[in-house]
Amino acid sequence: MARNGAVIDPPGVQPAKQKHTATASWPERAWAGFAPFAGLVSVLVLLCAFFTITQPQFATYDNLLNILETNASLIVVSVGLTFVMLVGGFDLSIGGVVVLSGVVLAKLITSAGIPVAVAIPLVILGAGAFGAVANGMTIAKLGLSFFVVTLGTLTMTRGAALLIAGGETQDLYDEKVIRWIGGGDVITSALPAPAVLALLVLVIGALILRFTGYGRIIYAVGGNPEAARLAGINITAIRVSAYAISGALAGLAGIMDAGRLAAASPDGAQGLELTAAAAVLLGGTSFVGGSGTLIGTLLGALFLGVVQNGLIIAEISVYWQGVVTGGVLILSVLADRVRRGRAATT
Amino acid sequence: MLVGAGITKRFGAVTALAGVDIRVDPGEVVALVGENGSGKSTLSRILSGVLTPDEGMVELDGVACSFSSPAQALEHGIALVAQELTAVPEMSVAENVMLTRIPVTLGRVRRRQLCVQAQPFLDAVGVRCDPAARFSSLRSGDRELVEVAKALAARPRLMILDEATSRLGESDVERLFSIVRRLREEGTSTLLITHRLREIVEIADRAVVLRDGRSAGELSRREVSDERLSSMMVGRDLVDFFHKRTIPFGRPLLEVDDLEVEGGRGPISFEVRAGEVLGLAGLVGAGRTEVLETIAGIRPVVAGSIRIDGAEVRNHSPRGALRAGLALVPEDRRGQGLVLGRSIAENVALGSWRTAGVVDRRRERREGADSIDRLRIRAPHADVEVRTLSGGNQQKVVLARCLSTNPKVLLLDEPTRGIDVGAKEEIFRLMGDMLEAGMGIVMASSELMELLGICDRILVLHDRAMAGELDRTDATEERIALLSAGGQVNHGA
Repeated sequence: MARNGAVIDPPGVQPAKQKHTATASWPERAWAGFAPFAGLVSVLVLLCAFFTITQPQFATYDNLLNILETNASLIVVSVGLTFVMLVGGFDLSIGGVVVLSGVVLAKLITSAGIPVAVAIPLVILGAGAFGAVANGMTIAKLGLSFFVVTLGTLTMTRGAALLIAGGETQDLYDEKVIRWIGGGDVITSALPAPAVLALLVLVIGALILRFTGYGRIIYAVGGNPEAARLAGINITAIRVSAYAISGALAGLAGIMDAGRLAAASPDGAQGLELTAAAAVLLGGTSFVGGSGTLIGTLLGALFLGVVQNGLIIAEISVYWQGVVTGGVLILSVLADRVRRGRAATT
Repeated sequence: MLVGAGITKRFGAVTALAGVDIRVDPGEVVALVGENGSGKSTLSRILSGVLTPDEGMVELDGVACSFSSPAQALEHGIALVAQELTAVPEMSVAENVMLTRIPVTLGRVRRRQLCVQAQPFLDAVGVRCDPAARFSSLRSGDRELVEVAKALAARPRLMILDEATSRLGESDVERLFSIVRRLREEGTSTLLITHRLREIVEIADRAVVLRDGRSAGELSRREVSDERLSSMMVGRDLVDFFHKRTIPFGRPLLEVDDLEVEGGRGPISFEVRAGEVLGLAGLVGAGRTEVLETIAGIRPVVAGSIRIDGAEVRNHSPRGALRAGLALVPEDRRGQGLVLGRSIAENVALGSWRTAGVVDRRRERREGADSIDRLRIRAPHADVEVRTLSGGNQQKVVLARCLSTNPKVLLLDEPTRGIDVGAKEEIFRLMGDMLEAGMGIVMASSELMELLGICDRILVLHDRAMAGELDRTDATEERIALLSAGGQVNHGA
């Protein structure tokens, strides 16, 4: 935007003759909604087409479910990270909160003997409270840098997880409910629980962002905090709430991971926060806040999943995943810049 | 010397310039004027090689030349002093001035020679400072003049000043103009882009007017006047610029008693009645913005009280002030007023959302469209991102939001800064409508003519304290200036 400061009125628009339809026409709106991830979708389609043609077992319902299922917890934490990034923040502590939540859950059930039905909401709320206080308050209220704070809480939570677990993986094999959350079926095996849960979280998040006042406020706070504050919005509370959401969803992801592995490992989820960041950024969410969508985040996460899955099926070294993902990430941000650069001058 | 013919430039679907012709002769000072968005900056960027035109050609001394970079244009003697600062703040003043021609021996910068070489250019613009000092240590007026020195170091034949005076105070503008006059005597031409019509009358040999990306005509030195330039820019006659109407005053809506602002030097008291405009005048740093922002709940109240429509404001925060019936149009509309990446409709609705509620999108759009019609915002529809609007239209969006909260008192901080004449007139017209609807207005402005034109009373601030209050009938530019400078007005005189 600053690259070319010219702000130009469309010539020939005569104010006196204006009579307004209330809105843009629907093709315009549809395009405006789709444009931010047009690039990602086309790469994703090409990729899927390639794997479909070359690998017969790629385009099967089972394999697509498999992609969703293995990436369910990634989708869940990416939803939380999207909220944080929309308000102009970042959460590096995700991986730590995920493992700490898993370990705490295991300890609550096995050592403290708390019933599963109580332990699950307790862990999610606890993770949310941790996000709100340790990340949100220190960043939004005390004004510390999100990078420093969440790097600190990442190290803290990982350390705490190791401490509580005594460095050992906590067995959860006998906990049916937890295992169901991580790998069970909803009614039929065609609907794996983690995938359903992840999509549910995503849809609820998307509805909140799109239709509620809270969603509007999230975008406003990320887009221009000062303008939002002067318009009477409590920006501190909104920022804290975003970190709380990220924390709570990391807690949920921790439970899902523990269920999938039937155990809570204190050193799992390595680099999860960066993978999530890649998904969110691929999905077109701005790093400085104020713009982005959860549909984009889903596409970003699916892209990562498809690349990984396709490489495995094609028996290509999975190490290529990082190379491909990184390249596409930079290209997509570049494409977005070019698109916005053009839009900004009009 | 420099001739641009039929220059056309498009950005996406928008045509910024449509077949514009321009000519600058040696030693001539040409003013380029037009409303925001008329294409002035685009044209100056094309002439200086920052942008390339889609159609048309630029000729220098009869030879067609297409600059593909600012460096090429510089080589041909065309130097641009851009609208925004382009200096490197952490480098020395001398390095900035000589940026493109830093003397180097065997890869080592010769600092002493650098300073010696930069000195004459600094002298030429009258900046007295150590050339080895860091650029960021300069005061703002000097920074701008160092930018000019940098342009001079290229020994240009044509210097383009894009809104260079907008950040300068009166005395610095004078310094800049004496440089331009000296350059004119030496045969160097200047293309001056400015919003201030008085400057054009003062210095330009010729004024070229752009409107909506087309040439709207030109005026020679003898023909130039404020009125003619304004009506050419807007494309119609400006009849009653301030739209001042006679409105009977009602009850007091805002009562400020012994208010002391942060860093204030004394109590400030005033009241504003329904239908009344109170002006806040004063020099930069006199505390105009501080007073408005304190009333609006953005800055803390050190002492004193604020009553709105008789009720004391207790919740001292932006939200509390809004609830009590105050609305502020802030000084920095991009930084404080708008979420640039969101639509007009959302910006109008900003702050009205209930956290737990569902947004009525249809109503939001309808209200956005109503604002567009009522405030004559130039935009195709309410879904347009506000970043794409020109300054005046952005200001109207901020105003639309303030009005949507149904305030009793409207606080305007520099409402006309950086917006074009036509938009100014419309804002004054809207102010008249609001007063008729029974609002009270407090308006801070550094444009004395505007204050004199629209205010019923003017409160003059000096050093964050009250210096005096003048009624419409006995306010003059001289009296305001005197009070602003800390003097006393003798009412008998």
